[in-house]
Amino acid sequence: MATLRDSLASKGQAIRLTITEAGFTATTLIQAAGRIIPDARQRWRFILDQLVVCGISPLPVVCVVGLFTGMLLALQVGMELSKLGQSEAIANIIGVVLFREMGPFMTAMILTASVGSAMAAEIGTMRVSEEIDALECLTVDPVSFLVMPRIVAMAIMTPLLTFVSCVLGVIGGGIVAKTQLSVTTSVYLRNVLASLEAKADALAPFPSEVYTGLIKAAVFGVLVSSISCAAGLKASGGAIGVGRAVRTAVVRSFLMLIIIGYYISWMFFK
Amino acid sequence: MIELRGVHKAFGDFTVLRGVDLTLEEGETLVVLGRSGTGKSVTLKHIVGLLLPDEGSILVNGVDVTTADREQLRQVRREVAYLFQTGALVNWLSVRDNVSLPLVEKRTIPPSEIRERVDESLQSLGMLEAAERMPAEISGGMRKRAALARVLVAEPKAILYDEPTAGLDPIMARTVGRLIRDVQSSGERTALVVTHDLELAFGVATRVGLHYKGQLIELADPERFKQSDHPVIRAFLDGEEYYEEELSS
Repeated sequence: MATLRDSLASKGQAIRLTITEAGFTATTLIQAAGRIIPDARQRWRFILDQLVVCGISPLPVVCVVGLFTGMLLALQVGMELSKLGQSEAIANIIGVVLFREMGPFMTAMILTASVGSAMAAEIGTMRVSEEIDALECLTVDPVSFLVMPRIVAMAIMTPLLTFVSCVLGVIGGGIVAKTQLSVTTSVYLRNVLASLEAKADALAPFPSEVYTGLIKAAVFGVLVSSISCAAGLKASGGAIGVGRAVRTAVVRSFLMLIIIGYYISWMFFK
Repeated sequence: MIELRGVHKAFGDFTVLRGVDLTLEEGETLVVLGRSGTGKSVTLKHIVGLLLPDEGSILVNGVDVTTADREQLRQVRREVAYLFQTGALVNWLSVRDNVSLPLVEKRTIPPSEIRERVDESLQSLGMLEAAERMPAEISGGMRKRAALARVLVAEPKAILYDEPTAGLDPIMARTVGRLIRDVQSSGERTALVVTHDLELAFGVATRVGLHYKGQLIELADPERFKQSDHPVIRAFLDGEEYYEEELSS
């Protein structure tokens, strides 16, 4: 009986801790959002640094993953379609899957592993080495100084990297479609655009589905950076605490990407 | 200027402070001695609101830190600076940028004046030639001096020194002690120093106390403190272990 009670108590405590930390992440995000207009000019140098960290550093990985995702998708699905004599439909599938789901999701996963984990480690190390306490004593707001530039940079760079990833995925899919499935380039491109319900005009030069993917990517960027920064700010207990913060940041980011990703898709495409 | 009344603090089952009472008058240099892990740094962190007590009150120039709002706490932190044990410089900013930080954050001081004041502060601590270096590229003693420059540039009324000579060689420890004396005499600042370095303590203090089992015992001027009959103080000054379990009142 006592064991059951202890087990329930520890589960209850874990749930309470999760809710508390989710609340802390949400509060951090709201506070950071509130500092954008008053502090962005003051922090332009830090924002610029973070744009490079979030956008330029992971670019090679994003390009390779994007290209090969398109190629893999075309190869696996294309072979099945060719059995049904529907090889040309591969372009429609590539366009929809990459721009709606795979592009934003894969890019956000890469950024979680490469940039989000680094954010949690950097801020966590600053927390355990008392640098953040020192900032507070100097009346420097850590959320404005450390978190806001990272969230702004991720909100800008995640959609841009997603777009690059999707374009490379379409190119990769096109290469496989032409070489393995005998689909001509013109048919492939026409079908890709058709799948994206192309309604490009002067005001909106890209098909509408591209924008929904990019909005999703921006939300993912904000999610990953706020979860990672909050995990870093909550770090305690030296090097072990920093390691725990990084693990927390990566696991929670992955979970939230899947869950929030589903609901965004549900909102746009139901 | 700073007053602590009956401050209690526990982290889980571990009680660190058991009713600390302390009054720090303007212009004095109070040194709190004590072994590592007795709660000296925890006491300092309560004064600038980095930690909140479980019980008790902390007054800084009449403002109760335990109930202060955001703006009042900022004011307290402008008046009372904290020099961290490790220096706690921001590791991705140069020494100059670290020292500039408190002035840049005020957003009312022109860049030319910031540069002038930062140079002056770095010069006074012999750190001007290391201004463009990163914290990882300088020694522990230089990091401490850079951190002290960062504290001094904001011209606080009081400075809390957390183990200022910890981890330094004897020569550098004496240099830091001399710096603290110079800072106190030049600016007529109030200071609270926590340390276990007796040479530093008796070199800078106007009053000395001992932190023991979560309480502050025997606050006295340095000479009277040295002659105290209190068994814990005697054991500490003689560098011997004190075995009594409970502190007698």
